Amino acid sequence: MMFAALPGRAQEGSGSRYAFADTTLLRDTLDLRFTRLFPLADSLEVPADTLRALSVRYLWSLERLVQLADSLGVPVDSVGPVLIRERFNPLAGGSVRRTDFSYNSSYSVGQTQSAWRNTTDYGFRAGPVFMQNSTSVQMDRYRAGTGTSLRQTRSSATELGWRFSSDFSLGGRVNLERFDSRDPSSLANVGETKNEYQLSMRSRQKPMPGLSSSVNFFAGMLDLQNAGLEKRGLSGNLNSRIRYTAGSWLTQEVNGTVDGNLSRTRVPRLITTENTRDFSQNVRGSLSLFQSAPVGLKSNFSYRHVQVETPADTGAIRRVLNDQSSIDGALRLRKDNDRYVDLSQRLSVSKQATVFGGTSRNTRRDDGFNASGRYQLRGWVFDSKFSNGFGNSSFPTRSDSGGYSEFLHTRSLDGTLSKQITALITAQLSASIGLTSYRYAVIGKYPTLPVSRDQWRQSWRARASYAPSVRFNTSLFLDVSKNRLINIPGASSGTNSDTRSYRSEWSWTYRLLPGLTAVQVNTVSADYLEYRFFPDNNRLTLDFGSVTTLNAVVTPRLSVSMTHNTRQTPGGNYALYPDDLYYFERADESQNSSLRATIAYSPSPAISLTCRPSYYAADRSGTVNGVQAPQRASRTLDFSGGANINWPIGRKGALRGDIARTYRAERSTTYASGVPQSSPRSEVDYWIGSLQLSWKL
Amino acid sequence: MEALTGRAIARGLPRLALLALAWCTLTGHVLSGCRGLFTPEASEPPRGRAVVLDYRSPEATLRTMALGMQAKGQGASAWLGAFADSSRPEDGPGYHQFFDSADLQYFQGTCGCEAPTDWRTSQEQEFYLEFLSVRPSDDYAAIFDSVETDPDPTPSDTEALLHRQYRVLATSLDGNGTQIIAVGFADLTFTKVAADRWLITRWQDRVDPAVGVNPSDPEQLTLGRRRLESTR
Repeated sequence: MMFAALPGRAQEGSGSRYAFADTTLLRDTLDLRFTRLFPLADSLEVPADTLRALSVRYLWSLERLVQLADSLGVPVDSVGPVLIRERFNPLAGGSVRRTDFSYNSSYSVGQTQSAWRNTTDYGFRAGPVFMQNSTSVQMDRYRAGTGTSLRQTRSSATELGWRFSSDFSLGGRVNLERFDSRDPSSLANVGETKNEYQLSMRSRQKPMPGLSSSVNFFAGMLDLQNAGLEKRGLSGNLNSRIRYTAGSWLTQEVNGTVDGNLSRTRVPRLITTENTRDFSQNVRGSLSLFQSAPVGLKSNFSYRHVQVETPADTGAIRRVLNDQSSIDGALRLRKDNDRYVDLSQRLSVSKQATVFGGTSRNTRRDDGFNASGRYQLRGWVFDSKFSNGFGNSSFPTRSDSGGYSEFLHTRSLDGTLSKQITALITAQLSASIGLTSYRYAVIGKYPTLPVSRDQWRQSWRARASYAPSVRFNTSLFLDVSKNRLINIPGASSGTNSDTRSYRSEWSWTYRLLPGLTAVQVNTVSADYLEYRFFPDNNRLTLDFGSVTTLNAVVTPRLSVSMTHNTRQTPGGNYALYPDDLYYFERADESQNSSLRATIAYSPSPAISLTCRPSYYAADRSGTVNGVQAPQRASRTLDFSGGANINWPIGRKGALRGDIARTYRAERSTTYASGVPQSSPRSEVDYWIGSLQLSWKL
Repeated sequence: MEALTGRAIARGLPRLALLALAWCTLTGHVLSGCRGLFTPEASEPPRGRAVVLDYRSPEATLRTMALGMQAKGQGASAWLGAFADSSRPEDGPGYHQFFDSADLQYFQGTCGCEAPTDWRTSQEQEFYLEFLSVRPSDDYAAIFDSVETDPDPTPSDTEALLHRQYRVLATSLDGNGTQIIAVGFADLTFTKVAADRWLITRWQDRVDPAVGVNPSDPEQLTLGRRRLESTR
């Protein structure tokens, strides 16, 4: 597995469990390796592509990424943000004189919008004195018709302070934010100005082995002005993090933030001023017990309360309240990675404000139970997942006269059995069943109450793969499913329907030559849509598809990829014939095909030139008076040519990005009573891309 | 702590796992009462009496259509049976719907898409299901009134032209609210396709000038516009 990814080959899994992982995702011709990607992603419960993206983004190996996550005590996807945050923590690092400066400028352009963002981060530390500044200026332009609207977002946060010890500092900080929007289609421009001048206190504590904490406090003056309100007063923010670790059996962490302001607020065109209080609490925590033991427990909880007071147009103060809290616990009974059972329970409550004020909030209560397990025995691996969840929602003010409540019950059971039958053949059998029930009741008066209904599904799938050599592998699967829509009330049950679907896929990969790989995926599917009370509308849709891809690394600097995609979708209803039997009658058909190519040439590591032509054809025909006739045909040609740049500027800077010119020509013909009516050819071409200049001192 | 990581628990783990799975299964059944956890609820039968299909005259066909709309899902055959289907050899020429040009223009302008170039029985089948879900819980009533200012011409032996103002009303289950969900005029051409069978072969839809193409009550659209909207 360690060195499994050969050029022109997919990343292989290990054993039957990962044999059907989405290997096309990881088909690399760049000799990139992601050692133990699938088992790690599986163990960390993150998608494999997310883990791979994190590794590419931060240029860390997977082992390094996991090691850092363990060391910092954070989820693997939080490692990057936490490290960046700590870089600008005045209490981190020693008292050595140090200056950090980074400048990033990025410009992106699309068909109708462009954005230019400039950011600088400056940090200075000399003995006990520290200063840091983050400034960002973003300019967006949106073009609609002949008008162009502009948006500017600017922010600057500056903090100057004195570090009394390695665990305590005092200082002051200034947060300035500006937003301006100019839209030629609106009469007035929109803007917001926010100034905060605060005293800052940062501290961290280690009162005993295993226990660490940090407490930060900011308080000062607030000045907020926009088109709807002017708010001036006192603002404050208190945030804290406590982490306790006892050996390998206990880890507990609590993060809390409280912030708010006491202000005098008024609508700009009114004279009267009112007192307002904005307030938010946010607490999150986790508890892990015996994570490495055969029996382990993990629990998370969160609580969030937000209160915002804003003046209405009349000047009256309106209070908006939002609350959210949740708790979950997971018990893991684990012998090893291939033999375990996870049992988890989750409870959550949320209350969202509505336009009708704080007393008529939308509420939702959820509770759900999940169980998942895996057991490996003599080469057979059995995975199973069960979930049973309830949701109670209430929308009391969907209209002026009332609303409705919703009761949702979701349950599902999935099982997968896989085995590597021989060294060359792997087989997998999976099945699933699920039922989702929606029930509604009126609150007050509400005319358009959703229909109480059940959605039931059941499916099974058989897959097999055969890999006789490193150069060739093939797989086959058959998927059979049934979906049932059941409207409960008699007023709607006439439209109840069943859909039976049969889908099969055959795919193969063959490395014709070193650096030349062919991949083909062929699919055949049939969807039978049946109406229990409305058989005249029963319908059958067939689908035949084939995708062929050729990947060629012609020279180390030149690569070519070509993809041909063809899809044919006939469909129709059933007609009653004189023998009292229904027969399928093909009534319409869609035929789509496309040919795409990508040619990339890299004259140097700093630049690569890319050319992407593609052609797409779509035809649709129907039946008129029993005769097949064309309805619509369209042809589209896309061409994109550009460059990717990764250019080091000196030892401290880099210019990265891509820029391309895109051209599209399109034409369609519609047929009215068999007479073609061609639309004029439409053409559009524009620049698209983004460039980023970064500089660090 | 040592006891928890000991070999005794490792040995008992399969039994614990089995117990947990059994508990999950039992809990699932307890939560759903005596019925199976994955058994969907039986639906109520479609409301309303079965509609007798009567297409013996143009007026009878309209009455059957009104009864069909009243029966909603169970009346689909009654409504759709009123339209001549060219794929049925006994029906002869098929049904075509023609939209009001103002409806077409408004629809294409707001949708930014092309309107269907033709409307036949197959499209009407799909539309009927969509139309039932405009007010899924309500009872429907369809009314076809003759137009005083536009009297019907004398029918021939095989063809008749009827000018009608139509309205479709939706009444909530508690009977407290009634809403017009379709209103307009229709010039309906009926063709006698068999001895006792007058079916619609042409529906020329027209906007009611009193309501307009963009009504103040957004529900009061023509059936033609409802048909167009169902293709979005």
